[in-house]
Amino acid sequence: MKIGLTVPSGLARHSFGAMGTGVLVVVPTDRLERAAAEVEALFATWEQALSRFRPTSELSALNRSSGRVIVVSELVFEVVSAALEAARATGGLFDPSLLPDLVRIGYDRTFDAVGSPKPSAAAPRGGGGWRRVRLDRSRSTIALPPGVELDLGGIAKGMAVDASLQALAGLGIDAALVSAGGDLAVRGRSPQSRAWPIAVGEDGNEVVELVRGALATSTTARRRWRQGDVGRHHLLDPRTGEPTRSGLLEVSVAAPTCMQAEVAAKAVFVLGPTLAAGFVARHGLAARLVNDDGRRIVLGPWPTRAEAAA
Amino acid sequence: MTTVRNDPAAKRRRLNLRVSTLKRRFGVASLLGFGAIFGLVAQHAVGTQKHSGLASGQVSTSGRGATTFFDASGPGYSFNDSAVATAEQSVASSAQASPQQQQQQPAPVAQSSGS
Repeated sequence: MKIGLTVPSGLARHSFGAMGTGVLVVVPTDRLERAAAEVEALFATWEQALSRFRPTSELSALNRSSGRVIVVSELVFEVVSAALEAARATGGLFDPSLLPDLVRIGYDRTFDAVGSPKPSAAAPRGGGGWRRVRLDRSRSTIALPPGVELDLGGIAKGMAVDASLQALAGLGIDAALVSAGGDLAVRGRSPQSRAWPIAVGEDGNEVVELVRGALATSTTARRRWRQGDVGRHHLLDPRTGEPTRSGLLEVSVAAPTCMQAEVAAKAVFVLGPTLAAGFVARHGLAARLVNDDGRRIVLGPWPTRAEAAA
Repeated sequence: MTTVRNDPAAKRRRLNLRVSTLKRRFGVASLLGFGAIFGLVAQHAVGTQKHSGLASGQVSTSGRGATTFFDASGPGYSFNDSAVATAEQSVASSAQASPQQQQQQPAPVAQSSGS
């Protein structure tokens, strides 16, 4: 659900579409034009290199390589490296190699064009293919084994947000918010307040005040479709290759970087409400979970409602 | 004196003494060398692990070793009036916010609702 957003005095906002989602930039008014151009250019570069929906992207070439060693740009190498590192850090709960299953359940084109795909007779593959990916940093090469294809959409968006904030800092912009489809990070303080008020969740009823760091939300409320008689969504369980059924409807995670928040939100979604607490505590994160029945659970130093309202 | 110098037994003793000294020195040098090599190997192994196996050469990404992915980088994260990223775990649940609470909340500048 879209809610009304405001821009604090002294700040201005710029919105545009990239990487299959809406991107929002909020910076001091007098720096908006420069900041908007910088972030738009960055997202355009990242999308061209990393989109699985663009046949000319480096990622598409990599996914077609079928075992051959491919020389990639520094950007693609770093994002793939980070994705494999994230998979390792989560014990495979975050899995960048589930693309064949996403395609099998009909998500083989941009979401706007998915429609109602026909059922597939193929069996689920499940995750784990990332374990066989070979990287060679000294040669900037990647080798995907036959059958392994990568989808870097989520983590790439998070990393693009982090990179945008870094780029804005390089321009001397000391207060900024960048959001890509609701995965966002902030830097500095807004002029009129100590923190950045962020509406969290699909209904947007809860507002947390983020002083620094990042927030990412994963939900099954969006990117849903039907494949024949079966309801589908885009968050897959690597253990089965099928859409998760962990009892969660929505997961928001706060972390130092947007990349970490994005990965953690996916991992918590797969774990489910019972096992999530251990994961969140182990990694020093904060999280807000909404169960299928609408019950809200907060983990770590996530603000309680009373704190947010104080 | 001459007799002592030419005494074969004395010569043998001196020779044995020198051989023994050389053996000790060789032993000490070997230990130092082994220690240095072991230290370098250990340092390399730790460095490689720190860099997630991606620092040099071709690396397998299999295995589930410790990673630094979630290590706090930079200033971390924090909420207004909230502790920063403590490992302390608190689990709580609550019902929907009251209208009064919602009215007290500041107007949001962005929404994190997933994509």
